[in-house]
Amino acid sequence: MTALLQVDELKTYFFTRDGLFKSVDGISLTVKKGKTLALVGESGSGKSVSMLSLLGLIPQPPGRIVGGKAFFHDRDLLHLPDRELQALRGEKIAMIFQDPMTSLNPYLRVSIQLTEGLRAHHNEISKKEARRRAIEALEHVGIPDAKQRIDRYPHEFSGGMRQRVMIAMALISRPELLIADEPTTALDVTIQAQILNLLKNLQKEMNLSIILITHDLGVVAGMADEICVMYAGKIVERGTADDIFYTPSHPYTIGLLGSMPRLDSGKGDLKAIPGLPPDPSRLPKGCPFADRCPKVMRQCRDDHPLPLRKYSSTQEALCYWEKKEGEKT
Amino acid sequence: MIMKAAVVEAEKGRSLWQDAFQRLLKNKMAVIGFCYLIVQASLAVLAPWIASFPFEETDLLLGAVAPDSVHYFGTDALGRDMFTRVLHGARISLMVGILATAVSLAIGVLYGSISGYMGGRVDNIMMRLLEILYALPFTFFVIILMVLFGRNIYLLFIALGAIQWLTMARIVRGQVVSLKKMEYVDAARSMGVGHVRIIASHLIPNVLGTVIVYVTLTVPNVILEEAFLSFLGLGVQEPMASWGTLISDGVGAMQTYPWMLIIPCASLMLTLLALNFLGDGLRDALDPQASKD
Amino acid sequence: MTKFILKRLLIIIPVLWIVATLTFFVMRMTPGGPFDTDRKVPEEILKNLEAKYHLDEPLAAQYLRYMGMLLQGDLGPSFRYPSRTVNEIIAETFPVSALIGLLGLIYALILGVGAGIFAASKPNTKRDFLPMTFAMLGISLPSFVIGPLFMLVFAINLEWFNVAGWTEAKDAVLPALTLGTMYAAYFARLSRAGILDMVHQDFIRTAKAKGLPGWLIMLRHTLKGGLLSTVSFLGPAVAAMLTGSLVVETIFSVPGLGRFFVQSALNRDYTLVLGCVLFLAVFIVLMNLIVDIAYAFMNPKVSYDSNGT
Repeated sequence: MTALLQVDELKTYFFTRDGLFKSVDGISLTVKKGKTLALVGESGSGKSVSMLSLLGLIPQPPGRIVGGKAFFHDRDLLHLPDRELQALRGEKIAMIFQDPMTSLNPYLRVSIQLTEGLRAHHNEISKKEARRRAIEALEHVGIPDAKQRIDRYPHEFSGGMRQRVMIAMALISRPELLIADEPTTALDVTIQAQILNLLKNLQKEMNLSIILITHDLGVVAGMADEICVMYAGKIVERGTADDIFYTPSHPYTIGLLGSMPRLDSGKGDLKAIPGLPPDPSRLPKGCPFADRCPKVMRQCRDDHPLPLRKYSSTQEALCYWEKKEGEKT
Repeated sequence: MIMKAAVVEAEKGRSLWQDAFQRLLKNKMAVIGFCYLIVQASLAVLAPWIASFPFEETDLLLGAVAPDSVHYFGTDALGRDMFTRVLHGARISLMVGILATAVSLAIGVLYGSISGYMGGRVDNIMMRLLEILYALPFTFFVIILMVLFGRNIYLLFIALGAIQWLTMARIVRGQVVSLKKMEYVDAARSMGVGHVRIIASHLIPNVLGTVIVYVTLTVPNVILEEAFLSFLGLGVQEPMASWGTLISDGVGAMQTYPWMLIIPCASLMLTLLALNFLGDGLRDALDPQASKD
Repeated sequence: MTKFILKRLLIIIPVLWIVATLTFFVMRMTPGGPFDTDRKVPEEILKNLEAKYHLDEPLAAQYLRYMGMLLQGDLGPSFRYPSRTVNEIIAETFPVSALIGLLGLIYALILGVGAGIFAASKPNTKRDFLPMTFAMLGISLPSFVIGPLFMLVFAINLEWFNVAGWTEAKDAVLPALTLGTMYAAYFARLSRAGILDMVHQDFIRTAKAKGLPGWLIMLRHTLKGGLLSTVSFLGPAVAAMLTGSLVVETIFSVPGLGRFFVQSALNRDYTLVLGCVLFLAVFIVLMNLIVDIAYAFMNPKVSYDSNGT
C-alpha cells in the first residue's frame, strides 16, 4: 500500500493586526490509496486550515505557509507553481465543504457549476459531453430526475440533495483524493447517515482516498481507517479507528470520547471537557491542553517540546502522561 | 429573569457603543471630517460676528475684486464680500440640512416603526403605499411647490424632508421587524406593557444605530437638494445667499471672476466630503458586518 | 415571472393617477395663472383665453376633462406656446435629454464599474485607495458644481468644446460627463463593495477548489453576484439623472426636456408642467420595472420570493 499524500511538518501561520496565529503548527500525516483519514478536533483547531493550505486556498495575506512539505505522488504541493497547483485542484484533488447552501453559487444553474471544472481542465471535452457526464454524476450520487434537475438553481434543492450535488461536482473528474470538510455538519441526522454511506460506496467504487474533517467522532466511527486528533494546531494523537476508540491515550481524546453520547451507556454519563481552547494568538508555554487536562503535571507547562509517546506501530500521542496497561479511562 | 435580561441588554448596549466609538476614532478620515464639520458649523453659527461685512452690503464702486487681505474670498460684481456671503450660505445650507433631516427622521421613524410593529395587514398597506410613493418624481413636486408658493424657506425644509423620509421609513421598519422577534420585547409584552411604551422604550433605542448612520448620509443629500433648487433659482431668495445661489451666480461670472465660482463650489464640496467620510466611518463603526474590509 | 411583471405594471396606474391629481390640484390651488404677466392683459382677452382653455369652468369639470384627455394619451395644448401641444414639445425635447442621459449612463457604468473591479481586485492597497478616494470626491461633486468646473476648464481655458449650445455632435460630451460623473462614483463604490462581499463567500472558495482560472472566477462567480447592487441602483440612478438633467441642460443651454420643465414651471404653464411630470413619472416607473426584471434574471431567488408576498 503506497502513500498517496505525505504531509510533513506543515505550518500555516496568520499574521494579523491582533497578533500571530499559529493555526497549523507542524502537522504530519499520510493518506493511503483508497483509505480514509479523519482529522478530528474542535473548531479552530486548524484542521480546515491545514487542508486549505495544501490546495493553496489560504487567503494570503494574512495567512502564510511558513514551513513543511506535502508530497502528492512525487510533487510537493506547498512549493508548486500556482498554475500547476491550479491544474491539480478539482482534477486530482477535490474538496467539498460544510455548508452546501453557501458553497454552491446561488446565482448559477447547477449544470454550469457541475461542468465548469471539467471544462476548465479539459479543453477537449465538448459542452455536450460535459453535460452528459454531469447528468451521469448526478445519477451516480442518487439524485432522481437528473436530466431535468440539472438545469435548476441550488436553492431549488433540499440540503441533503445540495450536498449530493457538491459531491457529484467534486467527483465528476474522478479525482484520486477527496477532502471532505465537515460534509454532514449542516445536515439532519438521517441525511447525515445517507451522505456518509454514499461517500463510503463511492470510495470503494473509485478507489478514492478521503480526508474527512470533522469535530464529531460519531461521524468518524464508521468511516475512518486512521484518525488524527488535532488540538490548537497540533496533532495530539493518531491511531487506527480501533486504537482511538478502544484505547485512547491522550487525555484530550479521552475527553472527546467522554463527551460523545452513546447508546450503551447510562444517563448522566456525558462529560463535557471543562474550559475552552486557548486563544491561538496567545498559546501558553508547553502543552496547550494543560489548563483543561485532568492529568496535568508540572512539566506540562515547561517550555520544552512535548514528548511523542508511541503505544504501538500505529498509535502515538503527544503527551507526558503515559497510560498504563489496562488503566480505566 | 426580565430584570436580568434588561441588565444584560443594557451592558451589551453600552459596550457596543463604546466599541463603535473606538472603531470610529481609528478611522482618520471620519475624525478629520467630523472636526471639519465642527469648525464649519461654528463658523456658520458665528457668521454675523466673525464676518467683517454685512452679507447684503453692496459696494458698487468697488465691484468685483480678487481675494486679498481685506476681502479674503474677494467680492462679487456688486461689491459684496464673498467671505461673508459664503459663511451666510453655510448657515442656510447647514440649517436646511439639519432641519429637513429632522423632518424626514420624524416622519420616517414614526411611519416605519408603526408599520413594522403592527405587522400584518396594517404593515402590508403601509408598505404598498410606500411603494407607490417611491415611484413619484418628488423633486419635480418640490419644484412645483416652490414655484407656486413662493420661495418660502420653511416650506423648503418640509418639502425636502418629505422627499427623504421614504428610505428612512423602510430601514426603520426592517429593523423593527427583526427586533420585534427578540425575547425582551416578548418579555415586556407579557408583563402587559402597552404598545406605545414598547415602541418608545424598547424598539426605538435599538434602531438608533442604523438611524444615526442613515441620518449622516441624509444630511449631505438634503444639502445637495437645497443647493440644486437654489441653483435653479427656486430655493432661497436674494439678498439671502445659500451655496446653491452663490454657485449659480458664479457660473454667470466665471469667465471674468473665477473665484466667485470656485470658492462656493469648494465650500459645498468640502462639507459634503466631510459628511460622507463621517457617514462611512459611522457605518463601519456601528455596523461592522455591513462593510467587510 | 409574468405575474411579477404584471404586478409591477399594475402599480403604474395608481402612481399616475396620484401624480396627475396631486399636480393638477396643487397648481390650481395657488394664486396667479398662466396669463399673469407684467403687462396688463385686457379683461376681455383674458376672458377669451380662459374660455379657450376651459379655465372658466368649475374645477371639478376641468379635472374630469383633463383626466378624459389623459386616458386618450393627450396631454393638451401648452398655455405659453399656443401653437404647440404638450405632446409635441415632449416628443421634440425628450430625445435630446435621453441622448445625454444615455451617454452619461454608459460613461458612468464603464468608468464606475471598471474602477470598482480594479479597486476590489487588490483591496486595501494603493490600487484600492486611489480610485476610492476619487469616488469619494465624486459623490461630493453634484452636477451643478462639476458642470461649471468642466466648462471653465475644458471649454473656456482649453477651448476643446463650445461653452454652451446644441449645434454639433461634440456638444453632448460635457453635459454627458457632467451628468455621469457623480454616478460613476456611486457605481464604483457599489461595485467594489459588492465584489468584496462576494470574495468572502463560500462558493468562491468552491470555485477555486475546482481549479478554475482566476479570470473565470471573477467573470462568472464574483461579478454576477457582486454587481447585483449596482444593477438595482440603476433604476434610482436613471431617475436621478433625469432630475440632474434639469441643471445640466440649464448650464449648457441644451434644448432638452429638463430645461423646458424648469421654464414651464417658472411660467406656470400648467399643462406643460403636468405633462412633463406625468411623462417623467411613467418613464421612471418603466425604468424601474426594466431594472427589476434584469435583477430578477440575475438573481434566481428573487422571482421565487416575490411570489409569496
